[in-house]
Amino acid sequence: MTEGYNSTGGFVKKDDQEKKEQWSCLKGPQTCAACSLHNCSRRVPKDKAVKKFVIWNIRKRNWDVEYPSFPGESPLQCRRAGLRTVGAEASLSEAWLRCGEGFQETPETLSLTAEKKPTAEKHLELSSGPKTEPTTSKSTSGLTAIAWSSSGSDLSDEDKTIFKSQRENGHGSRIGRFYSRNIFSPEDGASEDDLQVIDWEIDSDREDTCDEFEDRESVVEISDRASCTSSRSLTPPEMLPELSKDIRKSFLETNPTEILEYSSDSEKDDELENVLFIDSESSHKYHMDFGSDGRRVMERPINPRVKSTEAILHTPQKETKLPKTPENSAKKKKLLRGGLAERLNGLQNRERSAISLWRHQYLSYQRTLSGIKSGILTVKILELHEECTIQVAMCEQLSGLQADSSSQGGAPGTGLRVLFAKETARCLRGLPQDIIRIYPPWQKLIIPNGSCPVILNTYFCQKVVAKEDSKTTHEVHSWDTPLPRRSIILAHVFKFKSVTNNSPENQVMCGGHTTVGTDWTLRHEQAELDFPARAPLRDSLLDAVESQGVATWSGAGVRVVVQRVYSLRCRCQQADGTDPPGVRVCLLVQDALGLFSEVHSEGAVLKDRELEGKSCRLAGMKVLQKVTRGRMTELFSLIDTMWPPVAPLKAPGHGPAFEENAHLPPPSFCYILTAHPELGQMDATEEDSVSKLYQPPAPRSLREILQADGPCTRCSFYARVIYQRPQVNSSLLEPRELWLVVTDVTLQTQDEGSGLPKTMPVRVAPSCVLGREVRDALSEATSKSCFFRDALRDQGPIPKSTVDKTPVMATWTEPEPPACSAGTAAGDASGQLVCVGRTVLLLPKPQLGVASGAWELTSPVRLDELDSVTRVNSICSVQGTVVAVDESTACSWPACDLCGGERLERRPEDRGAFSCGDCSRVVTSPLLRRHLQVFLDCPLRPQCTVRVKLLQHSISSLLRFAACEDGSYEVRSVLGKEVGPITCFVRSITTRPASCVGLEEVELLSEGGASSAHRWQPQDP
Amino acid sequence: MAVAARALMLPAVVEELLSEMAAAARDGAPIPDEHLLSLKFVFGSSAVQALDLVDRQSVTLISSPSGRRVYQVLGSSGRTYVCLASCHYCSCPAFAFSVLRKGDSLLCKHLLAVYLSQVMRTCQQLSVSDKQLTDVLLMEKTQEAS
Repeated sequence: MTEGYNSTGGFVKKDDQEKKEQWSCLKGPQTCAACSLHNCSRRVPKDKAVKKFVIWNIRKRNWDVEYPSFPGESPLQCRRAGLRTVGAEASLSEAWLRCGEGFQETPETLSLTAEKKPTAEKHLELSSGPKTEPTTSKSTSGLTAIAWSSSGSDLSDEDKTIFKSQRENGHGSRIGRFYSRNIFSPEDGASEDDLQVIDWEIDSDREDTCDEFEDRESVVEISDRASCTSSRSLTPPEMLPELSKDIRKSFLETNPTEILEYSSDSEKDDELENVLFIDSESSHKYHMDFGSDGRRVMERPINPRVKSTEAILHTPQKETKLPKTPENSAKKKKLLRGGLAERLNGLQNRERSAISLWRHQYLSYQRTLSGIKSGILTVKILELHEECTIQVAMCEQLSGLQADSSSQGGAPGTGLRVLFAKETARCLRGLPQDIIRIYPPWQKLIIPNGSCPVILNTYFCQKVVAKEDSKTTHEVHSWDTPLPRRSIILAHVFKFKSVTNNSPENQVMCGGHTTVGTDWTLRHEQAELDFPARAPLRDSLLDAVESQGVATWSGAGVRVVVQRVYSLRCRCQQADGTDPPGVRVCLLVQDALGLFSEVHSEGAVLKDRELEGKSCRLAGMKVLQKVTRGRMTELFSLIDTMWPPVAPLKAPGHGPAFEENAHLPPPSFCYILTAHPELGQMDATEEDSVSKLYQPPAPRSLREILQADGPCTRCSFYARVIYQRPQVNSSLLEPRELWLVVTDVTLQTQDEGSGLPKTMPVRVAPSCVLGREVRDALSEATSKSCFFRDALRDQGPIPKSTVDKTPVMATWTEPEPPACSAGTAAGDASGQLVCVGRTVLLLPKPQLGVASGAWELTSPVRLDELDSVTRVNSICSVQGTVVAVDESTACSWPACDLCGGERLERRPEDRGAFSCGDCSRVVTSPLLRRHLQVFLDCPLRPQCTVRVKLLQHSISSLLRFAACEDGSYEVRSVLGKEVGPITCFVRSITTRPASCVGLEEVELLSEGGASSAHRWQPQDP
Repeated sequence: MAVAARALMLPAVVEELLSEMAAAARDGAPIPDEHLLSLKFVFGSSAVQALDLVDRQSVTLISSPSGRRVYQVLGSSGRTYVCLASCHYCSCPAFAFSVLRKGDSLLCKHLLAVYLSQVMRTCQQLSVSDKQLTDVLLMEKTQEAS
């Protein structure tokens, strides 16, 4: 096939024999970028004095074999490589920024990266095609190294996710538990603290799986020890030295919150004087004793002041401990695993910590938002009696529930029955006419037969009115007289509305019973109303996670709001043909308490996207992972756009809504959930309405975004894509990096000198999943308006010193020699817009024209001129004088005049004719494609070497009058010619060792002839 | 209002609680946390123990052709106690002390377990002859007496 062609593979139009000896690789003053980068074996004229230069004409087939990096083709091939290079740099810098996330897991990450290497290599071999030349394989291996680091760090997100989930699966639920309770506490912002807590949790898990956390157990031990050594009325400070060290240690370890609180208690003595917390839990009470006893000592000198305050502080007495019934001694017996008893035990512990949390919050409220008493029920006792050991108070409700009184307690003035447990009652010493404040978590039970609601779980109560000291003592005295007690009638067997009427024992129990209605109003608004047939929906994801652990949630549903729907890449392949392989639909959901979770589902995107904004029932979930802010910055940057919540959140436990969301600290962790293939359910609970908590992305103008501060923030904007690189192939599903140059009306119409660019490059990272619709739209070479949802504004300006000290090279295609490739992107004056995972690109719907119209452009796009602040990967307009021609890379080749295909073959039988490999036609008059790079002198960058790779029509215009009769071109006639303004893509910007800009003339995506306005038509000389 | 206040509050609360729990159990859903916590509020430490008995399926309904029926509860100590179905009675010492003598508790844990086993539908069924049922009752008596 190659007969008739010389060994160099190309033929020159002029004279082969004469030139052949003069070829050698040029390493001239302008370094041949193509040579140094691609190991080009091409020979270039040595004779620099020759004023003529030759545009080589090379038959395609030959260079296909011997010149794998031929300039005409190499941009395609190398662009890919360059993409990876930029990706590597960018993702490395991302990884550096995310070092909290990435480097904590260094060994794992490294091993993962190493594991990933073979696939990366394979992948590259595919992209480099079937060429097996030594030079090619050499460059491939060079690329491999780059691609390796790139794909390694690109993968790090997902890999780590999966990896961590594997590693932490065992601990997920337990880890979540501790500081999840601190989610709203304002002093819990630092992520380091969280991590420490996690470590502690894991450690304690290892030591002992369940008993360690159950402070109940340790307290029992302590009290046992105490009763052995001393009488039961021993006060705790005396008791404590008696304890063996290990018990104390476990005591301290298991109750860090409470210990913390005690310290804050003693700081806040003044506030505490007004508040009395009573806990009927015997175990908790021990702590109370400890704390309050210390306080008592401190308060003695200021006792008169205490008396004068409105409320009285009662110190719970040690002897109020429950009498040890025979049952109590059996307490330590192991409960059946997975049983209801175990669950209740866990609930008790959690309630205790919820109570602690609440106390903490209450104190915070006192500090910051004095006057807000949300969820506090204030009642006046009208009548009081005792049933068994429980005090039943007939009360008049005075206030409380200002937040939503209609749904909760009813209007003030209504009657309530409040039950007080023995411990609470003893400490409260309530009497008729007393006004009692009841703090959450109380519960309300409505008994259907018409009597007034009953308030249960009144662990925290406070007597408000105690006017003077004398009366106080009187009250205390009068309390000693026993309350009227109503004895229980044993003959009365409890009847409850049973449902299995067919079973005999229930028939007996239910005979003639007419109880109707199941109005268990637990402050869950409409939770039961939506699913009367199902179990009540929970409000708290945390509760669901904690109660179900790592097992799949069975049955119980949690009500959440779907805040976002997006796709994420995952390593698993999916059988579902509708989605690209390895893409998983994810929902970012938020519960009524404010906790976020990311739900990974298997469903189709379209259906799930409809869920966005809806209130949703989540069931059949499994905890994949718990992530913290430090470990998944990308996710939390998205969550931060939804914080503070737009609607009031509910408080943990069954307390009331927070009234001031602005004071809540942003969440520091969230769960990654996955839907069970069969049990997983995500159904909208209210079909049409959009939830109050839903916070849609708020599109801003590009100008606003660029002017705003703060790296690593998410932003949404409408913009017109005027250029993209490389071309998107809609059939190509493989993730690759993409650059979109966008602009909007605010950038286009801004004043000169505002410092903002007129167009903006947006990097679409491989982790960003483009929907089919968007891929199709981008593959059409037309300008499109796009809605960028939750794009990331990446790193801010690079410090000047960094730029100065290190050689900075940002490059698009060419991997540079090592000396020049150490830096990151230069001149990132206003940060970078990146589409990463969880960013969604949407095409604005036509009916949204009113909203998106503001971002539509009408006039042709204005571009920035190439100047000192031009950034790599952006689009600029260039005008200048040709000062030199890169003769070494100049070449030409024939192309099919019909289809434009470049795979032309010369027919052996007919030497003069080409046949097109693409359309199989005989090409009689092939088009001549040329490659030409010129060096321009630009007035706006006077000290800078500007190299421009020109498009065909510009080359033709430039060379129109330079052609010699022998087929070569005179350099002299080209030099000094004015070029431009032409539209160029900035491929590279080098500041060291010499200022150099690599440009490539491009055509913007067509938009009704807008691009033609930019075409430069040279004037005739 | 005063007349209504005369009525006992606690039994009504417990009945309502049990009804709610039965409704949840019917739907195959787990018993809501709130119910468990309320149970704890009303019954104290007996709640956990009673639930444990239910978890272990320790409650058996023994019935005979004559229509007599008693519940037999296998206590955590390994002893069995008899609970009557038609009124609140249990043969355990806690019932005698806390319920009968002191009046501190509404139920003992065994009686509570009987109720909860009906709620959870984990009550075992056993049909015996009249004579055997009488023996069960008598045996319990002798067991208690000894």
